[in-house]
Amino acid sequence: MTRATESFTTAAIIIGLYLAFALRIIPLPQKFQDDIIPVLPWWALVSFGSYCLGTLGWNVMTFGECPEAYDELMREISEAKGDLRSKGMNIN
Amino acid sequence: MQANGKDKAVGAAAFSLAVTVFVYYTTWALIMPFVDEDHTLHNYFPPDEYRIRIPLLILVVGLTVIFSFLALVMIKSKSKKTKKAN
Repeated sequence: MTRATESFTTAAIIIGLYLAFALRIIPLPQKFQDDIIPVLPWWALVSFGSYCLGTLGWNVMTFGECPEAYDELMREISEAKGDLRSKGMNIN
Repeated sequence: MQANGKDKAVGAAAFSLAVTVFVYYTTWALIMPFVDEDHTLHNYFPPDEYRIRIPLLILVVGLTVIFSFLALVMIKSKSKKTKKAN
């Protein structure tokens, strides 16, 4: 089963379950039906947004410094610039 | 390219904001319905209708911004192409 197939299957199951509850095919206590079920998609949207922002922020916060890689990259960039300049290309 | 102190502060702020928003909204939308009407906790949250209105508004505004940006970029690239062809 490919990644895409797995994702679509999971999404289909969750959406199907939600629709079954939302259209009252499966009965629920009134409190759940009226107050919780309508707000679940919006809660999922807010949670997804929070997860994206939180993961981004966390990764920036705990970014592993790699000074050797930085120096090496800077060296490679100046080498490439010099090489291209000698071949006639103008780079700032 | 290194993540200096200011970048890390921005990252920490984004992370704390995300956690706060998630905890606040989850409490409001999924837990408050089960809390008695006269409990003081309800004073810390907006009225119930906004549980759906606020994310809906954010979604509409977000989609508008994204599609407007896309439209602008597409128009700009199209006008550049016709200008080049002339």
